[in-house]
Amino acid sequence: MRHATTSLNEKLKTSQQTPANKADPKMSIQVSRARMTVMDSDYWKVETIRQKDGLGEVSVAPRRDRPYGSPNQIYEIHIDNGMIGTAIREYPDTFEEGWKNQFSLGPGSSVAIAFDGYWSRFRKLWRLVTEEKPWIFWVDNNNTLWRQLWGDDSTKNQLATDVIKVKALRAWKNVNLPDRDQGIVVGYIKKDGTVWYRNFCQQEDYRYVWESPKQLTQFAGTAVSLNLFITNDYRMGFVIEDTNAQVHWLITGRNWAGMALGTEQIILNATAQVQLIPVTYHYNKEIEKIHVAANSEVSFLFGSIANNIIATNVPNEENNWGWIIEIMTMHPIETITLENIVATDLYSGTNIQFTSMESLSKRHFRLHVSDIVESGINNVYGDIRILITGARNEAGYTFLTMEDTFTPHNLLPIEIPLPEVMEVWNE
Amino acid sequence: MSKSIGQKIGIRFTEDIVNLTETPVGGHQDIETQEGTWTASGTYSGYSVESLKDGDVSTMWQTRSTGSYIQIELDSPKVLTGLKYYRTTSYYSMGYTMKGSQDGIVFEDVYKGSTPYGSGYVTTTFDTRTPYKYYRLVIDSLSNRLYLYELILLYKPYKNEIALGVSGLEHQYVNGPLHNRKYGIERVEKYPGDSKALLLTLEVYENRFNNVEGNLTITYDASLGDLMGRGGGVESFEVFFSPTDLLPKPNPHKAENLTAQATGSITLIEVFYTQTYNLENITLQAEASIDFIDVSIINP
Repeated sequence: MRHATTSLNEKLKTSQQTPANKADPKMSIQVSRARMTVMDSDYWKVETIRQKDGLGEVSVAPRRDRPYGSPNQIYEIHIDNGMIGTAIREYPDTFEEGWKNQFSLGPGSSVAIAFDGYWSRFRKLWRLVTEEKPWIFWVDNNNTLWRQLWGDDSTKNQLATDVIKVKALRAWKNVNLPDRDQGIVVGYIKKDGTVWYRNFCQQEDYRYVWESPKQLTQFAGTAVSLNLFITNDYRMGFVIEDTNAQVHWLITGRNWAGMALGTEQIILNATAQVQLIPVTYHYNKEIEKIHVAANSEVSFLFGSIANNIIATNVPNEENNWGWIIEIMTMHPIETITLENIVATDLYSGTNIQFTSMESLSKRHFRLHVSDIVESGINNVYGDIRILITGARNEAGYTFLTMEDTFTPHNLLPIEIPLPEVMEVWNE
Repeated sequence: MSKSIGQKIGIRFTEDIVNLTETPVGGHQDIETQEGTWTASGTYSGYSVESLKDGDVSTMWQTRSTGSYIQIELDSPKVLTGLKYYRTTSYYSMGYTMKGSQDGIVFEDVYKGSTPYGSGYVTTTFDTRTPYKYYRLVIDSLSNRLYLYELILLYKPYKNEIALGVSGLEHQYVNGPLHNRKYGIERVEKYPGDSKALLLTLEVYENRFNNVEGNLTITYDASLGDLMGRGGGVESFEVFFSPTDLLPKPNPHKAENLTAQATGSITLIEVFYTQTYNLENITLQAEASIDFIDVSIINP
């Protein structure tokens, strides 16, 4: 938007706006819009959802069971004179059946609805292919926020308390990396004006979990209203209005890998060779047929060779912190032995000996310090550096060298002198 | 064994040495490996470097240009002590330089060699005590092409043999200039009957310090070795001592005159001059090349 200039304003105020006064103002307004996604003629289709006195919040979500064509049904949750109700409608409503009320959820003050689903690409466009039923969210008169998978009351559960407003949205889910799932995001405002959210998303182990409540600490004001949105560059965000009528935007990073980038194709030619052994038929009863099917399978295995470690000393059963070093890695390590690990006392330059290594998981290893040194690492004066070389990932590739330096803590030094050279001779 | 030959060194510490990796009886044996990441430069299309470590002597790596190289980034630094490779009588010939590097950028020469004629595996060993993480086999010369079928690295798991170092000044020859000489350590072991001492034995023949001038320097790099006392690892050190009772046998180098006789055989072809204008002279030069190989008069 542009402001009118001061000179133009002065001319607009003159009593005689004539060409002679150089005050014959004309204004040309041009509005531009991205035509690839928004077409004035048919992009927006306005439909009336519900008209009634005492109508409160209304939230709708279209159901789409295919990545192409129109949605086929619309689900709705609303507040009608303080009572929460639900309804569905066919889409398009060919037989003009209108909204069909479903079930009631009792008194409440705020509602939201969102379908879970997965993103599918059809003709260069990503669309959310939804589940059969949506999740609904409502705030009852005790300010408790509830969730439920549409009419299945066995899925009803409490999400939060002291809530005054709720909104929900199915955000971006990465199509290749299951743990990069923003999930169904349920944003809500609490009585104290803080903004929180919970999300229902896929974890690294492929399970779907309602994650614990998280406060949007980046928003420091007192919220009175909020809404959620997703962007075409694979982000999601919050729009929050505060008590000063200021509107704040908070937006995530891109969740784009595998969606903004094209998938790769591997084309294999399978060559089959068939050798037939001559058969002599003595009693030929019927014609025999031989079918040969070629079956090939390709496994594509990739594992990053970059990894990070964090090392620290931990207490043993006797609460002595000088005998165990634990290492945690960012990515799983498939193959690792003590030979791959070098621990160095950086102050003395000497290497620390270990007797064994426990694998608590593929990301968590415990090194037991050798008792050759009677104090273990209790006498280490400075930092300890851990170097891991030659470890391999699940795809069989060797990780780049991993390194971490840490300061051991809670040590109890024991005074044992180090060997020093006293005498050298030839013989 | 006589003290005079300069082959053994004792080191006594203030505390007991409770742990160290001793040199095994008979010394370290070569270990074969094809570990690490292998890449190549100058590979002829369709003959991948991976063929060199697939265990199949019918698949090959091929190059047709000198300066090509095979680079191996080992999982961890190792002291390479040899190469084992498979070649056939077809396009087998190459002159090569084995180079080593700590960072994959700056390489130092480790060994130069060439392939002998024949078919099958060839094992070449060389003597070095420096561990490198990167090795590069550079093809210095070839005969149009080079076919190499398998390549195996040999290394020795040196530990305290390379963590400890012995060096001193020696005359290159009688009255010649002094140069710093490093003596390779063959064995590191606990000193018999003394828990506070170590015994170092130098490599036989070429690595004795009986000709050293002044002090010997003994160094220890704690990051490479594992000498441990009850209170912890032995820290890096550098100490000097003056060896006694040595029997020097210096290199008796002196200027020598060598006379070589070359016998030339000249065949003259009869020429008929039909038009003689000038007297003609024919001059012949005989050139002799002599390789001088030093064989010491002292047999150790």
